Amino acid sequence: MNGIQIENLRKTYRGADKPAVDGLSMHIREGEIFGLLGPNGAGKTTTLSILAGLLKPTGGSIYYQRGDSRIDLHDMHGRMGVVPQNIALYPTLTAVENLRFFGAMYRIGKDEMEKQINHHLKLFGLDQHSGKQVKAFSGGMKRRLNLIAGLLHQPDILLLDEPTAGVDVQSRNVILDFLQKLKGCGATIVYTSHYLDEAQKICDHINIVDQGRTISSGSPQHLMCKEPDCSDLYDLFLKLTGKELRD
Amino acid sequence: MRLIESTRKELLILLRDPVGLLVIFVMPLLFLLVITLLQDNTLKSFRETRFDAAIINLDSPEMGKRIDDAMRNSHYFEIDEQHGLDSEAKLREAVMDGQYEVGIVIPSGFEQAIRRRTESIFQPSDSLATIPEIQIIIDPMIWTSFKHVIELSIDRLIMEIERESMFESSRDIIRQVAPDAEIKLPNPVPLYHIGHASANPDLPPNSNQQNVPAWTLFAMFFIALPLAGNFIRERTDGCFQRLLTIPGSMASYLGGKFVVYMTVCVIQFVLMMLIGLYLLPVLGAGSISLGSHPIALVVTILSAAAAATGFGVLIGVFAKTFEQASLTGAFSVVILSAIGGVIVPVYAMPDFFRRIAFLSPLNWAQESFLAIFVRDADINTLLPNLIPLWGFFLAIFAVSLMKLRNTLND
Repeated sequence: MNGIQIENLRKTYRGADKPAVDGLSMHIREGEIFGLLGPNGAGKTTTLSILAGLLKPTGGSIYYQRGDSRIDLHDMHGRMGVVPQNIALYPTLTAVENLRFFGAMYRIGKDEMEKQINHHLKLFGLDQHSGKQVKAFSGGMKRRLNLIAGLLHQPDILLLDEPTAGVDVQSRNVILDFLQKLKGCGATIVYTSHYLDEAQKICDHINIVDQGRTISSGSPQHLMCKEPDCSDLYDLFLKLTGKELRD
Repeated sequence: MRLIESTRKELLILLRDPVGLLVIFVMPLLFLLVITLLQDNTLKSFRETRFDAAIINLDSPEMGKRIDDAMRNSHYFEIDEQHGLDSEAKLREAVMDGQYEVGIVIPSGFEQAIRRRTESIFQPSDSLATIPEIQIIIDPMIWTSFKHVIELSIDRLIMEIERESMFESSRDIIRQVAPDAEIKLPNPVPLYHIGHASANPDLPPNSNQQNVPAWTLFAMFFIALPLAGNFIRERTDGCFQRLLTIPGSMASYLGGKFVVYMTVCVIQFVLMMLIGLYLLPVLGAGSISLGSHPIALVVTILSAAAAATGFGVLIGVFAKTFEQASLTGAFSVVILSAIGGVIVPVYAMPDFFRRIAFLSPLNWAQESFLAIFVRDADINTLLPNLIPLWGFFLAIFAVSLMKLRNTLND
């Protein structure tokens, strides 16, 4: 089965007394939306950072399985798009200037870049604001632009860390619709969120993690079948991770 | 394409930061103006300042007048002839009270003693006649360097008077033997000054020649602060993390910063040089010569700009917070400037600091600029200073690139 294979992944930060990721194993199928859910400090962002190449794991392995061959994920980074939790954009540059810069870093040709920029700005309703500095954007506009900056180079794999955090219903709707369209085009999407309803709606597969370990995994329907007394993913999540507050 | 876009991004960020532009361009200009004019006044003081002086003459009126005239002609002293003081004790008290900066007491029998000493040359006796000492009282508030100037100038005046007196005595004695002999006092041995401003022999050494390159270098290296802030802001915004996920983007990322901030350094140099060439001379700070080797000047500017930008990159890459960057940046630039000869010229430093001046990249650049402006040096002469500047730049680029690539994996 083609996709990203993660085996016994471990990460302990320097000076930390317990691991952030503790023997995580999962398979992300090619062309699916994979939801990585969990409370604060569960290890979601650390796992995504390792997948993006931002962190070196303490142990375990990650590779891309294509047919019988295993490809080092490091070699896939050029085909990967990363949308961080922060608004990773230059506030004093305009939307277009930000996209041109990141597009150039991805080595997109000039004509193709202009085409992609115009297409995505229009798709996300930012075409009227392309010449405005990002610092003047609303939270939702920044989120949408943050997403565009990660997919200008049309990646095969998209890593999204809470892409809808703090945005209004309309912006969230546009983003989620887009992700489903992208999946339809064959992209593999790994996504973290605290919005369980949207995860239930768009994910093909969900991995619930806590304290760096998988505590439940499967399609949303499969997860619900495993816990018939839970009415939705929200109930299931609280049942599995508990109600105590997390840091 | 990557480097062009990275450069464009840096340029736009810089141009849209008015406070940053102020720090980079306006503050150094003001700094140069104020410091140069202040220092120039201090240097001028040696040549132009007149010290308030009072003379008590306990000797003949002729000797008093000669010393008075000689001191007045030296242009170092403003003589108060109406002071009304009649003893050394009263003069000392007046100087200590700050009423005068210099007090001179000509002892009784001074002229006679000189005459007797001359006569003893022609009529040798067992011992030469001793000359009573002239008392020089100097205000303790006056800097040591000024005191030396005062003492030397009075010393020279007295020697000249002694020489003239000896000549007159000798002439009188010779005329007793040969009344028609024509005897003239020869002029003192002239001092021939060589070695200054060979780039422009008509230009006397001045503070402008030292200060313009010195404070320009200070400003260049001070871009460490905005540049380091730029790095840290990218890290806190998350832009840097995004770039880290893009394979091979680090060299272009760093390259863009180098291109823009090196250009900033060159513009700083040009602006400061324009001030040095056209404004400071109007304000009385002396002229500056750019020498006659433009290639040497351009290469030196680029070398200094590369080293200064490299230094800023180093601070930006290693500092984790704005506080760290501003403290280490400002502190290290001031220390490197001080030991490099920016604040005080190397030749005026204590021996220990003269020995360690070569450790500062500002010193390599400053020495090169001074060699061009004052000694009219060519590029070959400058190589011992230019090669370390480029070595510094390349070493920093390599270390920074390694550090940036490894940032990910902590």
